[in-house]
Amino acid sequence: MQGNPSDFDIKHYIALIKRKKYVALSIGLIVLSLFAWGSFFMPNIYEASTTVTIERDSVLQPLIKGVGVSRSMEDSISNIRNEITSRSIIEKIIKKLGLDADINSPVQYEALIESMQKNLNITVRGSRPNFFNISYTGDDPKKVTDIVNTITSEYIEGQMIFRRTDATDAYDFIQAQLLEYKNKLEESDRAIREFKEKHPDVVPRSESTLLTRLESLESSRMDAEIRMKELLKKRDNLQKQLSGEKELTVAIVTREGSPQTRLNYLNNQLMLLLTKYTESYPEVIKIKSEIEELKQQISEAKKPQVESSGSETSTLNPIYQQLKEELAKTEAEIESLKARSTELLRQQQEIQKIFGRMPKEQEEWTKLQRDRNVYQQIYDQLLERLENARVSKDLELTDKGEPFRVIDPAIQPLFPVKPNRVKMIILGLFLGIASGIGAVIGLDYFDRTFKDENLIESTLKIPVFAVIPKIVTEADELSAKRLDRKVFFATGGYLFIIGLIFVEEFISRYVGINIINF
Amino acid sequence: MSRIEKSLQKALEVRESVKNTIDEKMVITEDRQDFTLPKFEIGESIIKIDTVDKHIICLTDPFSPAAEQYKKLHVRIFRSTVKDFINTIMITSPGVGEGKTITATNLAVSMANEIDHTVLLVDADLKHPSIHKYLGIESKYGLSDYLMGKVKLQDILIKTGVGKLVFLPAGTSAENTTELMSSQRMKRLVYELKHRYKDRYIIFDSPPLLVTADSLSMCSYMDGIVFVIQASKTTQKAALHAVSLIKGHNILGVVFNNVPKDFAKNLYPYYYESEKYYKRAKNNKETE
Repeated sequence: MQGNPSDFDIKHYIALIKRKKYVALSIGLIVLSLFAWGSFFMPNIYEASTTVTIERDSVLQPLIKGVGVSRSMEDSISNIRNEITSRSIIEKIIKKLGLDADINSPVQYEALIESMQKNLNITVRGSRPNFFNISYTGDDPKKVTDIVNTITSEYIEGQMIFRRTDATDAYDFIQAQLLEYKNKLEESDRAIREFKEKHPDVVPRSESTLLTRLESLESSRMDAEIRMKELLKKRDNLQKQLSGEKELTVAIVTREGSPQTRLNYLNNQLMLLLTKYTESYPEVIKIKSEIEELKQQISEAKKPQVESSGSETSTLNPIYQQLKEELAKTEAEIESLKARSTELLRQQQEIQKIFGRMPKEQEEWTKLQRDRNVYQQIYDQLLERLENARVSKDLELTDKGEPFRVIDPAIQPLFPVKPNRVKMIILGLFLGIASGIGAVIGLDYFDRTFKDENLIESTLKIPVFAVIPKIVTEADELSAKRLDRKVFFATGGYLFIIGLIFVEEFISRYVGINIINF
Repeated sequence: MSRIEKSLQKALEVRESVKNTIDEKMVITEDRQDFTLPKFEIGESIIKIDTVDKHIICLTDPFSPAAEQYKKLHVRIFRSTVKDFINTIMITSPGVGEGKTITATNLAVSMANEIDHTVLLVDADLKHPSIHKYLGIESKYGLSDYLMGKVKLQDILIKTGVGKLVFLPAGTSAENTTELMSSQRMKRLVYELKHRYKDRYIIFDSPPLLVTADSLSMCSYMDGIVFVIQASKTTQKAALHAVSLIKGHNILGVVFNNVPKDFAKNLYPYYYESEKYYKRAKNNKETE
């Protein structure tokens, strides 16, 4: 639009369309006609589709959960799509339905397969891939239906066979593996047994027990050693004492002990008392008198004795005897301790020797142990799996695990999916209106005629003397009205025909009553 | 009282007055004669209002907004010509069917009705003459015949009975129109018409500028040119080209023609006001 572009005014456009109504109308009608009549010249394309469900939430499912391995349907839809559109299935279909009747060359055959793959469409219904549609489009409704149904059954059958053999194969495989591991386990057990026989000292003891034993040995050896040292000292003492005593001594035997000894004792007592008390202390006096008495006694005794025996009787000295006995005993003990110490040392050394040997043997031992553990673990697992596999196998074989179910088998389509004339006419109507208005506005945009007196003045630099409004005479008005009426009736009639077709198409397609068969 | 009846009555009134004035002024008399020009009596063909084309709005509906605009046009032309001795005015446009003839006729009628000047309307579009059809006048001879020397001037001038409007029809169709238009005889005719009366306006309807050479040759002996541009029809390119062809000549102004209401609404804020005014005037007249 020339002039001021900021003056966007809806009224301006309404006036524009009113003024150019015939342009708008004719373009709109042309577009509508193209859609409405064009749909009759388009080839009919039919589509048959079937809905298949993958049962994941069957009653059996929770029961066998964790027991049998039910193949999860994380075989996502793309997997299913690939399987269905696979060459093997397509080829089977072609052979089964004899679709290659007029195929002469391999190139044509390839083209056929390719076009079939293209016409085949697998879509998911809903968010989870539990339901999926297999649909096929083509120009022959019967053929289309046949293809869809055959493909579906072919696919499901293939899946069932696959799953059955899969389950059986799994069972057999696990069984074979189980046997193998059983052998391995037995072999491992034997190896351990042999090792134990060969290294009896190593095997049952662990390092720590050996260490504690070593420690206890050490400590008892120390004890023995200390005791030995003590005894040695004692022996020396005894030997010294022994050398001081005579082997033979004169024994004076009194019944109540030696008066000399008693005298000595009393003398000592007296001296003690005198340090504390005076000579007049009764005890001191008592002891003094006793000492006197004893002195007398001793002197008296000496006399008769000498007189009576005439010579001294020499006897074995008892102290000497005693010491000698003691010495012998000590020496014997020392001897035994010595032996004990050496024995302990030997044992200690032996254990240390074992320590030295230990890493190698220990390693071997651990390896044997480990192998055995691993084999045991795997064996246990396999055993469990074998049970699972057995359940799975039974499940598949008895069809209890049947996951595929055809909900909607394909039925022969009554109406072509394309062209949908109802949709085409509606689309044509809207596009017609839009293109009519668009054309008028577009033409106006590219129109370089004068629509504004200011533009004249600015372009030609000539003053505008007058702006003459369009002179509409009565005759003009009348003829315009007449033309309008004619166009209105013609357009109305034409739209009525299209409307009739629309209604017919709508009723036959969506209500199911066929009025006229096109 | 219908519009046509009203117009007829008005025309009758006008005719009476014209008769009087023509008797006094249009008839060439000795005292007004400055040059040695031949005397002649002008033929009379009274326009019947019901045979006039409805597009000659100044005749058929003189109070309509369009007629008002023509009045405005002649006032502005008058204002721009009154100082100098400008009285030969050519109405032209770049292309065919842009409203030259209707503009020229309406302008002439409007001038004749309003001003004290005699107005001579010349149909110089010899190839496709049409003013006589618009005015509903039958004529045997015209300008082409005069230029070819077949007839005398007084035989082809027609008094219309509308104010002081005299009409010179195109005449029988000719092929060598450009030669005729650029002939000495044509030049002399224009000179003579121009100088016979100084208070006379001579309005020439002409062929389109971009289609024939006639208007280009006419330009040279015209005092002023009025350029017609039709809304939504005349392109900017054509207008610029046409203006460049008549460069150097006195272009008085532009008539923006055939403007639809919705344009006028934007460009002409007083349009509806004037329409209301017009309706009111009409109603007043009817009640009188």
